[in-house]
Amino acid sequence: MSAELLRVIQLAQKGDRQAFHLLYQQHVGRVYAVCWRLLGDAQKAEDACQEIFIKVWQRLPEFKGDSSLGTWLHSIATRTAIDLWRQDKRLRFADSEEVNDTADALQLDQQGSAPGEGRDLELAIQRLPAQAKAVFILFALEGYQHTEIATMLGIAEGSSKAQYHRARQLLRGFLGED
Amino acid sequence: MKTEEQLDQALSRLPREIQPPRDLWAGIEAQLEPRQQPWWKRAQPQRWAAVLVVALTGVLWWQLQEEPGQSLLAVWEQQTPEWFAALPAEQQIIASYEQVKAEQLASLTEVSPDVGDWQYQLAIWDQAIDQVRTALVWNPDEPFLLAQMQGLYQQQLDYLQRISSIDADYDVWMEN
Repeated sequence: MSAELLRVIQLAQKGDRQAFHLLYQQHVGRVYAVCWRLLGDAQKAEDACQEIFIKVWQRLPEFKGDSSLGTWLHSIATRTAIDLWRQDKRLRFADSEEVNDTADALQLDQQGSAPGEGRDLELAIQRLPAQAKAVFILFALEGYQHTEIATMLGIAEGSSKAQYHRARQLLRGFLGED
Repeated sequence: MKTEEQLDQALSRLPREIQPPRDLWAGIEAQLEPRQQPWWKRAQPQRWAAVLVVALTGVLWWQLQEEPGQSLLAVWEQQTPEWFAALPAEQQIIASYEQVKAEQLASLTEVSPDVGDWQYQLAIWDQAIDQVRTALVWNPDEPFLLAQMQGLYQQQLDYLQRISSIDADYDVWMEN
């Protein structure tokens, strides 16, 4: 951790909002990504993002620097997003039209990929069944291990692995439909 | 997409970050609660310094009762310098000058009538010192104000010194 970052964290811990704004700018992209992918809805992702940064502000004085700030902050973000995903999946499945619109708005295609490839993959991930989608996002995109995912989602480690393989099969099927 | 490798390649190209379509900071900032400081940090430092000075004076007074032959200033000097140095500059000035002033006043036995209303004169300086202290509440540790307060105290002490010397001369003259 650089001395400059440490200073910014210390200032934010003491209540400096400008310092916290710097931390927000540094991490909002990654936080929003996990929220949008899990919730599949721009408005819900924005609400989740706000909730997460408010939580981070409240808990920041407890941060002792044992891990990197990014790891610590992202752990709060992922757990909060999962809680919201859990509440949301009980209510409804993501509306495919809404997901399409959001994907367009976010301009998900990246340099180095074939035209439309990134967008198609993001949309295919959103078509996955709820639990398979969550496992896939956490393992393939967020880098968590199956043991961690099992704990976070309240499922067995074997189920996490099975859901991941199922997700991959489904994705290959969705992307090969054309 | 036919193969596992192609899926892995596509996944590796997905961005790890996605920027929200609008800036969320204003909404977040509006909900950030001010940090609650512990109660001992919420009190103004000047008040704590005043409490410390009062406590120290009490301790010194108690020590004087234990060792009646010793002067208050001597006892003061025996205290750990680190302790004294930890006080805010304003409280250091007040504590040290008030102590010397108290000793000088205590040593005044009879003041020459030629001096005039010396207590009124001291009260004017006290009033000026109070005004500087009020200014220090708004500008803590302001060097100009601290120097001004020190100067006023010094003028008081010099004046007391002069009074006591006139008093001594008067006594000497009376004896002759």
